[in-house]
Amino acid sequence: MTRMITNIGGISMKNPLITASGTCGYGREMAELFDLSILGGISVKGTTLEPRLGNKPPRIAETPSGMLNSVGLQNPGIEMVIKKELPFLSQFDTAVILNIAGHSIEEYGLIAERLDEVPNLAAVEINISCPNVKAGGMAFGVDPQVAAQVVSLVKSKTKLPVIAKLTPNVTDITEIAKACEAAGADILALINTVLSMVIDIETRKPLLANGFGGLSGPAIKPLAVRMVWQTAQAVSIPVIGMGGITTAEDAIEFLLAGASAFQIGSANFHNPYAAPQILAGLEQWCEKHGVKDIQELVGAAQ
Amino acid sequence: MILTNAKILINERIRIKADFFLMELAAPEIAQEARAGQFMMLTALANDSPFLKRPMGINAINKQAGSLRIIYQLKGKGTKAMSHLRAGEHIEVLGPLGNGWKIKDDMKSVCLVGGGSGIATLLPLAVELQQKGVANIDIILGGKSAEHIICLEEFSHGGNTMIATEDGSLGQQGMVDIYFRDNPNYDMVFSCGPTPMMRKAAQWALSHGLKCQVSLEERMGCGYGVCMGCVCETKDNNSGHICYKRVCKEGPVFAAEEVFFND
Repeated sequence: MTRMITNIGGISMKNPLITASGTCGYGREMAELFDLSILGGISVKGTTLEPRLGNKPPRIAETPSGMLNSVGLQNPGIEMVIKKELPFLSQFDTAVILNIAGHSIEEYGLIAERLDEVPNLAAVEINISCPNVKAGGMAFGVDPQVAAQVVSLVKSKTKLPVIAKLTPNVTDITEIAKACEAAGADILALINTVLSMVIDIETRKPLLANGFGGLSGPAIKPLAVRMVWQTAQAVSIPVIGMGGITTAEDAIEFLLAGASAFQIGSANFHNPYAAPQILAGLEQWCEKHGVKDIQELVGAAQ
Repeated sequence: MILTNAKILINERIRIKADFFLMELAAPEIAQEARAGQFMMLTALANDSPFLKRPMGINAINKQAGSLRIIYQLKGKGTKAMSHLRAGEHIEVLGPLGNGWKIKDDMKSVCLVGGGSGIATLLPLAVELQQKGVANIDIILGGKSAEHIICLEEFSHGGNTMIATEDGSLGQQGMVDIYFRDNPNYDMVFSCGPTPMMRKAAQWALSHGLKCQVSLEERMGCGYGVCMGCVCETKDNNSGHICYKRVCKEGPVFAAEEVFFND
């Protein structure tokens, strides 16, 4: 198992698998199914300064090889998360990553300055890429200068490693990636969901109450692999890849494209045991292919 | 909650025009845990299409045989793929999920109000109420036509059934509310069906000071509480403000007074 050890940007993990924010809550439901300590890391639900109600339902739509969601960052707010949710995760030997989102640049700072007092947090993941909220979220991730401002503010407020989670809804993701790197981000994570839409042809209305939603699942995997490839070549900080991973083979593809670790997102929805199964598959694949250290694979595609 | 590849014992069309199918599954571990009012997530294919499992209310639980039954209506890609499966084949099932109906030992007289495919999840409730010896079980079922009233024979064993169909092809012509009498005296009204029907049932019960439980349906991502996709609007107990609760985890059964019914 030692070949799976992944140390990137100040985060130490026993393997490169992280469950993605918004697909594993604050860990409680998944902990009923398997021991969370098998995970390299867990990126918990996007958390805001104040509690957020989230968007009106319907929030979910099935699409070809994937799905749309427009949850809109429903969460109980940073105060409750620190008090009630994060302590639960301290019993597990896994890297706990807190995903944060703000309405304004200042809000990211106000959340970040609370985090050094929280024991057992491994990193903070800045969500500048949520497509489902009007103010904040993706609005900060499509402009390199604004993205850099958020990153450097968060960086100045916490000693934790800072991950910038990027949106694919831009013309050139490497531009944003380079701006975040220059602003001090320790790691980049990509991609968040792709802004999309489904129309119900019977009612002639958008299927989601919010109109638009974020596309995830295998449908976006090739897009994500391409963006991880481009980004990994454009920056020198580590990249965490995600987007439609449902099998160990998918995960290996991301590693080969240049990701040092990967996140499992909507696969957790269609198969609650996706994470343990992918980990087992990864071990088998490495065994079969004589891979002694998983990091050998990172960026190995030519 | 168990994820299993269940063997299909029966999968047959039970209604030609209304497109209802009955599926019986061998899933002993799930059957052992299952309670009336819970549901399961099913998918006909293991891989990407359809990507998400579909929630299906449990229609019958046989703990001794280790089997479970669902009744589903052909609607889209997910149910269509399910309808093509044959007995002997397998289907991936996650369950049992959700909270189920709340049944109290001191219930003496109850009313069940069901419509459409929502009727299916009321059957195991009727069975359990009967086993508990509840003296009076009134069952009001509604649908577009006779074809839409499922499980009628099984309901008839356990209670006093009243049928309303929109076209009058079975029972009285009209909606379920033609049976909503003044001054009802029930310990509980249980309802599952289309939202407008549940709203009427809830209004009828609550306006007469009766307790009422409703089983809600919403588009679901995961079925076990992580995606936050299937929420419904509820009243927060303390503040009275709107809060979103997960149909799959805090539900699907809710106390009617805490639910805002939106079409």
